[in-house]
Amino acid sequence: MLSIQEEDNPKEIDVRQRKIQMSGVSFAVVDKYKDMIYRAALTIVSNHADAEDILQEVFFKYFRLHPAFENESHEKAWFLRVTINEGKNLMRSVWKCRRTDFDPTQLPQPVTDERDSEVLQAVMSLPEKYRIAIYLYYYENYSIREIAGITAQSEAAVAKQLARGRRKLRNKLGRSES
Amino acid sequence: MRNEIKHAYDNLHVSDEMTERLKRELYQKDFHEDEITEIFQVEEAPRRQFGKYFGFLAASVVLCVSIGVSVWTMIQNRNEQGFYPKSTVPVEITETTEETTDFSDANA
Repeated sequence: MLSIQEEDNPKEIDVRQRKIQMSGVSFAVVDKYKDMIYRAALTIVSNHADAEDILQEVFFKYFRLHPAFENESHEKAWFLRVTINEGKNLMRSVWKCRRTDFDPTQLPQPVTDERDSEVLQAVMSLPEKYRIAIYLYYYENYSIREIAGITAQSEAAVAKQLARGRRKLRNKLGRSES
Repeated sequence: MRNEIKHAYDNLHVSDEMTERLKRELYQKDFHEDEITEIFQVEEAPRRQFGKYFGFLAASVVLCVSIGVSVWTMIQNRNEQGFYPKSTVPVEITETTEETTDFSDANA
């Protein structure tokens, strides 16, 4: 634990207080949301290194802004929204030069199960907007209305993305429409 | 499908090493400095806008004055033909010798 010396100037003390506060209480937020942010980021960028950059950037933003939340679901939605925005910004800037096919075996913690790997590759091969909708709907259990709120789109657009994404995913995984 | 997607995504998580690296980065980053930078950016913005406005105003004044001076000069130098600028080339006045005619003989 860091100690605060009286002879330091107030600005220095303030910085240290913030650091101490961060190292103790607020890092619980990191542990709580890191996996969710990483999964969402990876869904958008399909790349481990970029997903890690986004993870870092989202937490930088959180600690810099110190946003106030009404409840836990509001906090979770804020993290997802910031992650999606960061991911889209990154995709816009590096789309042409860094776009690579997703390979679950190349992750730091590779996905060894064959079926899981196949499902992940099928999801990641979908267009970006379908991937986000599929991830939020099927994994995070958000409703279409909630997804529309998080991604700042109309409910009709999200419903369409989900339907098309689902159809494409079924085709890729070799299933019938029924 | 939901179960399969859930199961597949459950395999994706941040490693302990990556978490430690992230926490270290967060711990070392000086957010106070960022805030100060942001404050200065907010304060500097109106000044930049004022500078832009002032530049535009000065350019407009210079343009108006130069147009005014040009028009005034043209008016001052106009001649009978209109607003054609009068030539500033000095005209050499050549002295012509007047021929004096003596009418005395004729009267005589």
